[in-house]
Amino acid sequence: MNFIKRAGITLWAKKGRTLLLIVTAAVILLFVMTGLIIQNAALQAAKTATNSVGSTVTLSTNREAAFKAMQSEMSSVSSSSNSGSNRPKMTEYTTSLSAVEKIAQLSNVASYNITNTAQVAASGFSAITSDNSGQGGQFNNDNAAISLSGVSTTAGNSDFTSGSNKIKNGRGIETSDKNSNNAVISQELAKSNNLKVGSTVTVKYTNDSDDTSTYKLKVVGIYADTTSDSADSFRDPANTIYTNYTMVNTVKNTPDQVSNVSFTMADSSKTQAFVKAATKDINTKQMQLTSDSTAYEQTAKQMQTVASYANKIVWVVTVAGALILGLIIILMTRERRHESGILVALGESKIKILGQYFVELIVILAIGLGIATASGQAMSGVVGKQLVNQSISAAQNNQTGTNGAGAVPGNMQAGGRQGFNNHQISGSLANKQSLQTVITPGTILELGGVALLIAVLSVAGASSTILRLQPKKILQDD
Amino acid sequence: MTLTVKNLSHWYTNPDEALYRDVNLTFEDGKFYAIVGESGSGKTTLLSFLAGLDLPATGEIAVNGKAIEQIGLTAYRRHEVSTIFQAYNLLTTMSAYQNLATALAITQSSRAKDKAYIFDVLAQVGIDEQKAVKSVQKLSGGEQQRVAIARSLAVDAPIVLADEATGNLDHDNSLKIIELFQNLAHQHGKTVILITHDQALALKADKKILLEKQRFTQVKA
Repeated sequence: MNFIKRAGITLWAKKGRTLLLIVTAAVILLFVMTGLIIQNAALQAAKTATNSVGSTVTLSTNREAAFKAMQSEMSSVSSSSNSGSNRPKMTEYTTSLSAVEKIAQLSNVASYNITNTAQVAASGFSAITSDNSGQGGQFNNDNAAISLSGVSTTAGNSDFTSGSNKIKNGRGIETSDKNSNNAVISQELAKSNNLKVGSTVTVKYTNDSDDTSTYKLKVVGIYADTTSDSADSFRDPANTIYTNYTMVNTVKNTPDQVSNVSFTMADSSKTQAFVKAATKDINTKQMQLTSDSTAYEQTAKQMQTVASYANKIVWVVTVAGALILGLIIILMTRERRHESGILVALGESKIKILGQYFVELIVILAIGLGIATASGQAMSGVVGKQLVNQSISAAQNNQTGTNGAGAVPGNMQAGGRQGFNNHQISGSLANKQSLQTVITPGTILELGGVALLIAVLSVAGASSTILRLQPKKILQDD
Repeated sequence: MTLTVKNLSHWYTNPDEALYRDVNLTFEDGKFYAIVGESGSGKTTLLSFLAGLDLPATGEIAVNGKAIEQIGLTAYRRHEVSTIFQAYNLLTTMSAYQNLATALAITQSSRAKDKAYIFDVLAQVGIDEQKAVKSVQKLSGGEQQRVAIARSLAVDAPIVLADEATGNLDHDNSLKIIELFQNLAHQHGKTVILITHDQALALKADKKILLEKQRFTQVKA
């Protein structure tokens, strides 16, 4: 009859007390487990956020320099010349394609997407007319109602990666469409003009010298616009036609020139290092590199906040649990002083008596751990969802009134939309911020460690009264 | 085997109010001793010293010349002495059988798992198998006392101490227990020391020690 067997006999003999202790332990461990699961899930989500949300660096016209150049030009000609069509225009600086490809070879570039635009007129088909077509000047007719948006691939373009646009028929623009006239049009444009995949549309481009050129585009895909927002109040986004950037360069007669590139980082933490390296390959008087890790940092920060909350839950509940269980064990150990005295009088060592109490508590905690594990998955899912929702809500409140927050700077010419808008950022973040609360063997081990700690602290606290007393006094006091 | 008490004195708080002073006693194996005294005279306190449950203020208790402190109190209680308490002091979450098994396990006896032996010892004190497997809380006071006696018998310690071991027993059972003690001493060579206020029972002992006015006086039984 060793002390382990004595522990079993005692637990069985006092079933009611044992059951109460198991329930108490299960409740405490359930809260600790919930905290651990959420903490681990949030940390994992923060880590994943860097890969899924990512960080981008945009190479674009140095608008400040372009504006200064325009101002300088304005001041150098007579004021009468600065009116109407003679007014100096802000130059859209470009860089060579080879320079872009060189920068793309730098480490940490996961992918890149070249974008450019040209305003063209529909020929042989009609552009979509929007309700606010009365606003604005030159856009108030069909002459330049079509926005030709050049991209490397539609899959890498922010309008598509954000979920605003989705390919409904055919395919998107791919890298193989380089130097082709393949195009992707909107569903509205296709419907109103009876166009389908395989159709050909003609557009006209008028340059600064009022020379007009005609270009045929072959429809390879049709996209649907899932949002009602329009960053541009003068044009209906349905009038955006996506082509490979080489097509836009052909239309604008700017071969091998790039005005806007978006580089996606493989490791968001190395963004600044990339910017520093890439700056050496550009003319900073004309081009600029701007990084935007807002989405990544925001997502990672929110997940880390959730992890921090969960960590606090874990500590608070662990300490509270240890105290509660410890006090209960101390009370019960005091009740069992007489039993301890008998065992000591029989010649049992005090250490083995403490060992018996420890084994009893471990058995109770093990059963409690089983119950907590069984119900922890459900509880952590509910609590985790609440925490994430609160976190997103706080983020959305912070973003209200911040126009274009997270928009990629310098991406003004990137197409029908100005990079991410507020709705897209929140939606994007919300998509990334669902916590994957699962119970892993690691979580159970961690919880087991917490249970063991509670057992050790509880028995240690309770044991001092036993260790200090002499058996005669124990037996006489009772 | 000889159990000796040398120059033992004890007080609780004030040395001037000693319970007893300079007690010198010798207990030999194969003998049955009875210590008799009035209630509150300090008999149980002496037994607690002999049982290794407490230490006197001054003096020494030795087994074969070796102080029990040198042996180690836990080892002494485990291997040298078994005590039958007035309040039985059984483990109430266990049955009679389990109480004996526990005591045998603690004393590291080779018979800890010998069911037949345990039931036999219980039978010697009149506890049958049916009662042996019941929780001791379901036994009467007298039956519990007999289980306590059986526990002491089972561990087969050289020294057996009994504090009012027959207090809850009827006359016949009391005599049976006294016979057991005599048997232990004479047949098995144990040193049996019985604390009692019952003069009639004390007469059954080989030697009687009288505790009176803080003094122990050995008288013929």
